[in-house]
Amino acid sequence: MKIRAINLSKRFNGKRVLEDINLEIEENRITCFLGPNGAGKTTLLRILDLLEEPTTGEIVFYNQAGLRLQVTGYRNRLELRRRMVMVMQNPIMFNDTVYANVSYGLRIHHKKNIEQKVDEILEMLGLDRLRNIPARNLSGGEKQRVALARGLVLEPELLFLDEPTSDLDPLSIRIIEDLLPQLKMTIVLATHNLLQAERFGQKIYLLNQGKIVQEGRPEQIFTQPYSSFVAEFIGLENIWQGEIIEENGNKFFCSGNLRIEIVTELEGKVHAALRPEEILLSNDALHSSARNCFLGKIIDLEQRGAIFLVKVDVNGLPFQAMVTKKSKEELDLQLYKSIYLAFKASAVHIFKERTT
Amino acid sequence: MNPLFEAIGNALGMLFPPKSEILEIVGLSLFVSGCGLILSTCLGLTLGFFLAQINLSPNRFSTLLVNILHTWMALPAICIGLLVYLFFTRQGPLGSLGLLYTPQVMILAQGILATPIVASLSFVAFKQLGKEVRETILSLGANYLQMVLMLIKEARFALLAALITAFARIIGETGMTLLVGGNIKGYTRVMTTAIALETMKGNFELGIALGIILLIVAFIINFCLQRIQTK
Repeated sequence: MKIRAINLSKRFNGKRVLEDINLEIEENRITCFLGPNGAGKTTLLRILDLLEEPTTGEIVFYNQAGLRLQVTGYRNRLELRRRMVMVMQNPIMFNDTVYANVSYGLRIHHKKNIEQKVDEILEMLGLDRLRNIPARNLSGGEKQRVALARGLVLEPELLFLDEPTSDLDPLSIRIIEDLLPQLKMTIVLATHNLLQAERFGQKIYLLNQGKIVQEGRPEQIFTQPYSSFVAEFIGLENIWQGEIIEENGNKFFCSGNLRIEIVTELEGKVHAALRPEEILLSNDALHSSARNCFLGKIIDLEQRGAIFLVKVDVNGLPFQAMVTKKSKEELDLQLYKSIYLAFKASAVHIFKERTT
Repeated sequence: MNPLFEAIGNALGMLFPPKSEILEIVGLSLFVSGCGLILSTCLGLTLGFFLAQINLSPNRFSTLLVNILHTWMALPAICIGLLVYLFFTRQGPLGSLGLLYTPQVMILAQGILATPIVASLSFVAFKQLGKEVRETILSLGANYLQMVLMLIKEARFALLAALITAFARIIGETGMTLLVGGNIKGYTRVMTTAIALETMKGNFELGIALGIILLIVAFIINFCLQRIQTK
């Protein structure tokens, strides 16, 4: 099943929660809504699941043959809702056993072989030992898995997941994350967890304050942010504001005292972003294909597991670089030491701040 | 003191084995209050459910309705009795039905008394379930009826407590039941009205015997209520 949202917006008591939402949920793929808390991800999910009416806009559903499905009328919406399942954050357990919870959907739809189907799904989610325990006595992770089982046992065409692994124990997270790629259905996942979005999202919509600020495949979003918000959100440390200057056919990005050679079609006032992984550190000036090589001073050194984060000041502009522990030792990196850093012109991502 | 002990002794004698007169009175009490409970359950549960539904996102209108409900609950039983009496007396608008001094009109009055109790307690019960339960049920593909049944099931203990509370209220109601029922022997004589009138007539034994039974009924009800409220 495919969904298309056209010009959706939602207001709660005058407060604008979603605006200008245009998106497409593709069949049998994992679409990810990524964004900070309060961005509107949950509301969007609820609107698509027909639990909430949008203030303006339209949602169109297409079945597997590409035919448009009816959304108006109680019967049609009920039909549609029966093909979709939503697993909410902190799901509610019915005041009954795990078995009763998971079998509820099958019972109200008068399906056959209920016991067999339920036992199968309980095993798949590691819940078979908990079959007859009152669901309200379970841990958070177990409840989330029960909610997932409750929905999956109905074999929906579309699965909505709202923050499926936040605040869960590692075992539950692993079970759920291992299961996701195996599911053969359209999945819409809302999360603020970057790694999760990067790992599972085949298409990502980045949301902030109710609007889509960027959309695309993970590789695009994580290397080519459209705005400083996105860049900061995805953890790009090196973002600067400046201007583009052209000289002898080469373009340079100027900010303060620094001139960086870059490759871009844009002109005028822009932002520049550079991933820490793209920066090479060396004790001597590198004569290489990297067009940019600067002398700077190390102003911060921080160990993160097997990696060192090195902050280098070059003429007043801070650069964040990353090296392995071994490199740090071989180069003998220390605070206030002078160091050369180098990076390619093409590694610098130039963008104009998108204010929409 | 001696005549009193004698009366108590005679009363117990009426209970073991139970005199048919006593069984008749107790039976009618349970029947009238039972039917009154059924009537108030139908009305009250529906009212409570819909109030909870519109109160999901509280607004001025739904709060007003809840206030009206609570005011109804504050209505003194005897006033309800008076209203019903005036409606069904021969000169009244429904006098032609000849329902005054019948068990039916007693059931009606008790139903009116119990409905706001059932309604407000079930309103609280449903409201406490919260919006999320509703949505979980709907997102699993339930239709409206299935959702209502499941909500009742989820709130079952609180709802049962509501019914028990209402039943306790009406089975002990005297003045109103006397006013509309008339305490006619063999027809509209229930425990409470019988205790009142027989004791006034000096027929202590019957009064005490019925009093003991009513006490036992009240204790059983209260015991059940407490058991449920701990769930």
